[in-house]
Amino acid sequence: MVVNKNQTTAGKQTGFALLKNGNVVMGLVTIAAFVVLSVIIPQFLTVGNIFNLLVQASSIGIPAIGLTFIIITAGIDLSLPTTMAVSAILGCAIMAKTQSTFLGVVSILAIAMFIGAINGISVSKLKMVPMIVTLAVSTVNIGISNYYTQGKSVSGLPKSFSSVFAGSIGGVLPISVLVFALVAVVMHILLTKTIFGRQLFQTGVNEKAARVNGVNTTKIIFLIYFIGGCMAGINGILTAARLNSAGPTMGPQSAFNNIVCACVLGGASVWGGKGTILGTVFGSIVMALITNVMNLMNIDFFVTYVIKGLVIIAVCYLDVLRNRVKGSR
Amino acid sequence: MENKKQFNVKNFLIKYALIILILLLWVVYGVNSPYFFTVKNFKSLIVNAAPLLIYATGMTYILILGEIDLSIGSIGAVSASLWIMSMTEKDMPLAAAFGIAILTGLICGTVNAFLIIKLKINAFMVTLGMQFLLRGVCYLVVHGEQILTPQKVRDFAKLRLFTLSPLFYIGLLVAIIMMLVYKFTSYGRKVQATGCNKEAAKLVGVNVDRTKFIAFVLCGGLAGLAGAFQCINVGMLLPNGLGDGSEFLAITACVLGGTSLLGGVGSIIPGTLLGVVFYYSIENGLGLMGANVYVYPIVRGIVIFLAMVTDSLKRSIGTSRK
Amino acid sequence: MKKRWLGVALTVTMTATMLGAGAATVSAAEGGETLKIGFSWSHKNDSLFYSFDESLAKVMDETCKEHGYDAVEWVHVVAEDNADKQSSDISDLITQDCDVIVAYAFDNVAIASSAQECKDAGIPFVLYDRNMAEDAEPKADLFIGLDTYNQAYLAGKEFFQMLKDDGVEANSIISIMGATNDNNALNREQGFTDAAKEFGLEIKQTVPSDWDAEKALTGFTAAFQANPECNVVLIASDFIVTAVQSVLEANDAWYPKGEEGHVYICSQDGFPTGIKFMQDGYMDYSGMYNVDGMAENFASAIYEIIEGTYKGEAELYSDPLVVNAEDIESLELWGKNYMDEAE
Repeated sequence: MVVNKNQTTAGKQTGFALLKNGNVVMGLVTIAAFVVLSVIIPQFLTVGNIFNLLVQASSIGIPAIGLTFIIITAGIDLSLPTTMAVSAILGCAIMAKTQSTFLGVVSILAIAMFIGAINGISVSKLKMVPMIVTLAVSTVNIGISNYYTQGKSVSGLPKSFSSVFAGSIGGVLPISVLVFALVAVVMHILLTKTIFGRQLFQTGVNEKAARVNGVNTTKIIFLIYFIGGCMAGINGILTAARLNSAGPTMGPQSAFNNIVCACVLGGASVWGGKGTILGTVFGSIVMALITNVMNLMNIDFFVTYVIKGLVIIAVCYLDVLRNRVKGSR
Repeated sequence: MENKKQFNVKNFLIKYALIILILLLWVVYGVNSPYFFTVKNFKSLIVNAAPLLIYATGMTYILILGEIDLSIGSIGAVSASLWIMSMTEKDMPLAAAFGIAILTGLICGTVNAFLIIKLKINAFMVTLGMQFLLRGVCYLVVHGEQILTPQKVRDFAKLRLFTLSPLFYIGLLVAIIMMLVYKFTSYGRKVQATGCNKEAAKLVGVNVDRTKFIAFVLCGGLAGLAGAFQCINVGMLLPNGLGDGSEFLAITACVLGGTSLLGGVGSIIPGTLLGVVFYYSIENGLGLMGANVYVYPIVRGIVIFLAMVTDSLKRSIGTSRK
Repeated sequence: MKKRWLGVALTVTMTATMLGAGAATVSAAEGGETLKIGFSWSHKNDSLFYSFDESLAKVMDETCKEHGYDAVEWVHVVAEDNADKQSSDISDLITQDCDVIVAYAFDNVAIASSAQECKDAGIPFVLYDRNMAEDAEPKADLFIGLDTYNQAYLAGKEFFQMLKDDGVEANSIISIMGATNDNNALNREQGFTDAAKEFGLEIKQTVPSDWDAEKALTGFTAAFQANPECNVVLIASDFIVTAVQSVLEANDAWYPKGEEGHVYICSQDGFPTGIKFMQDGYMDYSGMYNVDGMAENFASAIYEIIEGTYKGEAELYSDPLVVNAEDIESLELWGKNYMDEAE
């Protein structure tokens, strides 16, 4: 049996301590990076570019927030991007037929939640291996997406859909970014200030002990995959609104890499027991930043791969050093 | 535990549920296509599956140790790039080229091992980072080109010993050797001990760090060979596609074969071998039946899902582990 | 404590933004007459795309001076087969004040949102090789390309005609198609299907390759076993032919044209691999890209598009080059330029 490699005790308290140190450091580093980049690249610190960057960050970050909950239990959900695509496709198909934005949005969420529930039941009740089962579900998602669209993404969506969900406040602040911020705040409260959150950390640190303490770990585990599905659905709504269409091309399996990197860069551990929403938000911004910078500096995209790999390894190493200095492991 | 007789039958069914599922699937395929249960089909299946078998063999060690390696596909890609270019650019003989492929894999595996064991960065992120990094390196090495396998490779692939291809033999040989290492050498015993209980292993004097280190190096070397094999099967080196997604396929095959992602449980033969054959048979059967193109991913997903159900059922009844 | 550093962060960011915005305006004013073209690729990992890139760069270098530009600057961004990322990539190009933005669309419906964004920013938008879906709006200012349906249809027709003329009976036609979420792949499959129909033939089995050589291999291994009498194979792109070779060789069915047991193959694209296999006699027909033709179409229209004075067709199609193994030596084919990298 694998004992959790992070010897955190009461998850909530350690979470706060991390918040003080790790994330402030991350935040300051990110800001420093922004300043340096704005000097090197002239168009970097323009309002348009920063918001474009944040919109991409939201596309990575909203599912990553869902993954944070899951990763705290050392679980994983590979189906997040494809769930987003298939729920968006089927939901938009309903939206296009009924021309009702409301019905469409509800459908997208419902389908995504349904898939999340399937994952949840598989892992919590049927005790299946999260990695493989979510991969299998993801494969089925892809099959359904391809079959339904047959190469032609769903279109003909009502104008109100994109004007609401892809619009901007005051013509400047994109709705996606606003939703990202709101989701982050709500999820942060859920994770750190509720009994659910506390019980989640307990489950993640030591499932058996949590159960002995009266935590309904089965319910908790089900809920986190369900939340993952919700996040995928929300992302599906926003992405479909931005693209004014829905197709399998919106959420390829490869998009998962960015999502998991965002979580881990933000301090979550794949072995479970650790994770913060704020960290994940920063991690998402960093992942989007790398791409944005590579594009603006017109760097050959092969080199981007190499740089991404180096950044991931370097940041994780910094995390190791930071933990070693603090004396905890 | 009421009726003892009922208990036995039910448990028996659950314990062998995965085998039953596989047999059911194969019966469906066999009924719908006269070509499924043929020697020819089996032969070509193993040849096509040889790269995955080799990837998964290395992955089995890693998983038993409770670790993970997400970089094997990219290691395969880089190794295959150097393998093919050593022949097309430097006209090296095939055997030497294979040596280069394996050596490249070993080096990549060593880098992984160093970052994970010595620098203590977690394996998931290190190997994920290496997956990106090495893929970029592969592109840079071949300048993004697709390269055809040279004639000597084609001649090699066409060799036949008792009507079987060298890939068939080498693939199985690698699996057999790694299984023998696992079961009968002191290193293999250390892997088993570490996987079962890391602390207890340390107490009896097993150098856990060194055991894991070697496992990552080995996994890399095997991935290098597997990458070259993928190239041989497919006839050319495609820098974007080679090895892409192989890591998850390898993990799936291992898990289907009974290896646990939590560590401690696993076998190469029969486990991983069965997992690989089963995985390939899913699409093989569909191809023989002439299935509609949209059906492939849906069937694949559902079959694997069901397989995982049987796996968890099995683990839920009287197992020694969580 | 959290609030405090959040406040600091906001102040720093706002100050930096104002400075940065100032810097951006300054740098935009420099530079003589450099034509800045932004290119958003869906992916860029094979010689066809390099060929597009090089042919365009070449033709633009040759023509820019006569239209008043000293040089052409290209900004390339690659979306890695992700429609969402492509949309963001194009936003990045808009940020960089390109004079025109060209896109190799990954999703022919989703790309319309980028077309709208370019329109709002006042930057002309050009689609390369992949056109928007028919009912998508707003349309791009220009489309340069090949019609992938025609590519397969015309090549297929000549291919099946050749079979008819040679008195060859097509048994159990197998088609290896691209990815089921790629409408170029679906167009090609439809083109082949329709061409076959005109000769009273139909495709017996289609193998989905997901544009992955290994899937093509395992799928075709099975398909050929189930249809051992197959003597006609249609493939969606040249790279698949080596997997076909592996299978046919293993089944003692790999013979060049003229020898008994030859399996007839019709392909698409015109990669160096394809050319080589046609030269060796194993592949019979291919619907190849007319890369230079497309680049010339681009150059003929682009300057007026940028100035807003373009009065020509919004869609400039170049026909595919239907190439037969016999014609290979005499034709100017894009793949030939990359032949020494391929063996």
